[in-house]
Amino acid sequence: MNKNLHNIDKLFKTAIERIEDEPSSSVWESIDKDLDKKKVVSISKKYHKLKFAVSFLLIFSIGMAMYILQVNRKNKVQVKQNHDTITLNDKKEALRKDAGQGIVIPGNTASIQKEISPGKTIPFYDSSGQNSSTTAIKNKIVTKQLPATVAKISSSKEIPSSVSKVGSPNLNSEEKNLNAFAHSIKENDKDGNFDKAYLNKTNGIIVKTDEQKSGSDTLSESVRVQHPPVLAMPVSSPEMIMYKKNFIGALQIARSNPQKYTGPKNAVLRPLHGSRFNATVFFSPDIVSFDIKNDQPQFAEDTKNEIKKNDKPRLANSFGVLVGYKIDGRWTIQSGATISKSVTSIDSKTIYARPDRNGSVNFRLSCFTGPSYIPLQSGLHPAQGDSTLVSAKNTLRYISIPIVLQYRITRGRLSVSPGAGIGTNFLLINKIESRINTANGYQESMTSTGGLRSAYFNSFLTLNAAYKINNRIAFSFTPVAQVGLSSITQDGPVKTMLNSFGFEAGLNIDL
Amino acid sequence: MEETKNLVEGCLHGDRHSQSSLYNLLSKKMFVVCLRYSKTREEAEEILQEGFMKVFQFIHQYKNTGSFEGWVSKIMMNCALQRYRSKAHLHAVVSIDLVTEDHLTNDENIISKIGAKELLLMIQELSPAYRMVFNLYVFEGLKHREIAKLLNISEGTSKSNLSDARALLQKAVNNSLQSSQNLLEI
Repeated sequence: MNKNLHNIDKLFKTAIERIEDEPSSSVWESIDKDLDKKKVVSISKKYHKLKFAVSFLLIFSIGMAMYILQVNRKNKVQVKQNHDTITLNDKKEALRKDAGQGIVIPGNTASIQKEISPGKTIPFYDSSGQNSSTTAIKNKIVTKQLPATVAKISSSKEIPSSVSKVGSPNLNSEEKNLNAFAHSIKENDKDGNFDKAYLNKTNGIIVKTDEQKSGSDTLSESVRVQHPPVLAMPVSSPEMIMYKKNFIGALQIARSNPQKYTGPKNAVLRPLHGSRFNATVFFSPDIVSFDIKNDQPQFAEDTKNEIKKNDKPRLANSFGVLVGYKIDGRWTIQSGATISKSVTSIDSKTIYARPDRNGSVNFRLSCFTGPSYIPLQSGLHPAQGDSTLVSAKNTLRYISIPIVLQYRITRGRLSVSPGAGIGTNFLLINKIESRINTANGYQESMTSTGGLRSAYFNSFLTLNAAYKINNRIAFSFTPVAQVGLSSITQDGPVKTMLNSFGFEAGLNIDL
Repeated sequence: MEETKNLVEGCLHGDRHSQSSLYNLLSKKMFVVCLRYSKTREEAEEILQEGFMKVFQFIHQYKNTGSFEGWVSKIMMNCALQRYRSKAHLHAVVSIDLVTEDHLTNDENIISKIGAKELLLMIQELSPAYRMVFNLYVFEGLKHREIAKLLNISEGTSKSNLSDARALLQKAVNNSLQSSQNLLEI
């Protein structure tokens, strides 16, 4: 019996495994319909670019968040460390004494060399208010040794003579000296002469002014402060290089954030203004192009080439607001919202009547945004396979959320910031205005494409050039290249990547 | 083999032509698989449709390690299993008469006398529980432990169902052979 039972297994297995049977044709039709609805594709393969972009965005965001947190934490520690040594009252006192009166040279001893136009009196005041002014002899370098009392700037402590060394351990006093010096320079810099400065390891700070011509009052001066060495940091350090490049900015930093000058390695230079945020309002005319690939080869009449030939981008523009966050003196991360609009004309072409997803037959127009079925006036019902001529205008409007990382290079009032980033674009409007030739003459109708994704990703390359009008506002001009990372279509005969090149022009405002 | 590989590649890119070709290539064999698990052709077609949808949807999960046909067949089996689980099944009470052994001769003889499609019909005639266990054991090569786990039954039930299914099929084969014998005599 057992043997026969096994024979039964073998009998059935052998017999049935060799036969084939054809299912009814309705099975494939149903599958075809379902595939149309769901557009079943391999997510991992088809959207590998999208996955890459999302991964990059995620890693980038996490990295930025960690970096910002770390910087903030470090700043807090520094503020705490300096709270006991530098007080706001010290600073106010120094300002009160020095404002508008002249240059106060802090330090135990200092020598000042000034090359000055004849008859010009350069006032010098020490912190006690004692006038140490001198009158320049014609084109002569005047060197003045300041009294030791000058060193007592807004400090209750006497600064010992040992301060005269670079890198003196008495940093607190040096910091005070720097702050007071910075304030006085700035307060006396009514004409904005102090554009350039550099530090000399041997001689301390050397401030050079640009030549300024105003009639006979030509003033060309250089102030050399041989002592004290106000910053105990290496001359070649990044902070010092920054200092060299924008001394006035650094002075302002010293005034507003004296606590930042705590030491050589931990010094953090802030932007010119207290806030790290800025906003850019812009408008951009764009040049749009499509990268079209075949997605469904069985659509014989909807070939890529035909769509490429007939669909021509016309008008495109974008506008928006971007908010930037200055990570440090160089790096800025920017995000915001941009609304873009593109209009594409579709030249006259023959289209055919096809059943739509609901089974009703309508003329199907396939374009770069996918297929759309053009509704006809009531009473007109094309038969499947009927053909007609159509011309159309396709309007797309997206809202984009970009994230761009920029690196700023500053030269005086001009700054150039190359940047890169990615963005998510959400579809706001898609409309197709078509003019179709029917039995009753030409008919105009409006419809939308069913095959557009609600969102797609793209990447950016930007080159921002900004020219400062004043301390807060700058003209901004930014060529932007955008490349689609994912297709804008999902259910069409073609897969379309949207690329563009724009010229953003606007205003950048420090908040 | 190369053709299948190209078609799979096309399906990975959502190419409808490749999907259609792949369906044409495999649908006949897979339909038989579905028929084995179904009572009617309509039911088999539903499983086939569902199965191919899953094939196209999850084709990126195919690792190119084994036979693609085997992978698709497994999907069909899973669809049938899912369908079986979703329906409440009553245990069939079937009277199994003693089977005489005389008629069970050579496999090829039987197949030539009865025909493979009739054998397939015999499987379809089994109750869902018997049919399921018989299919999983004989065609998929699963052990009773695995079948019990898949169908959420005990191993004993699986063995019992298989035994009953075999007995019923044996009886059906004998009856069929008997009928053909009688026809010849007439």
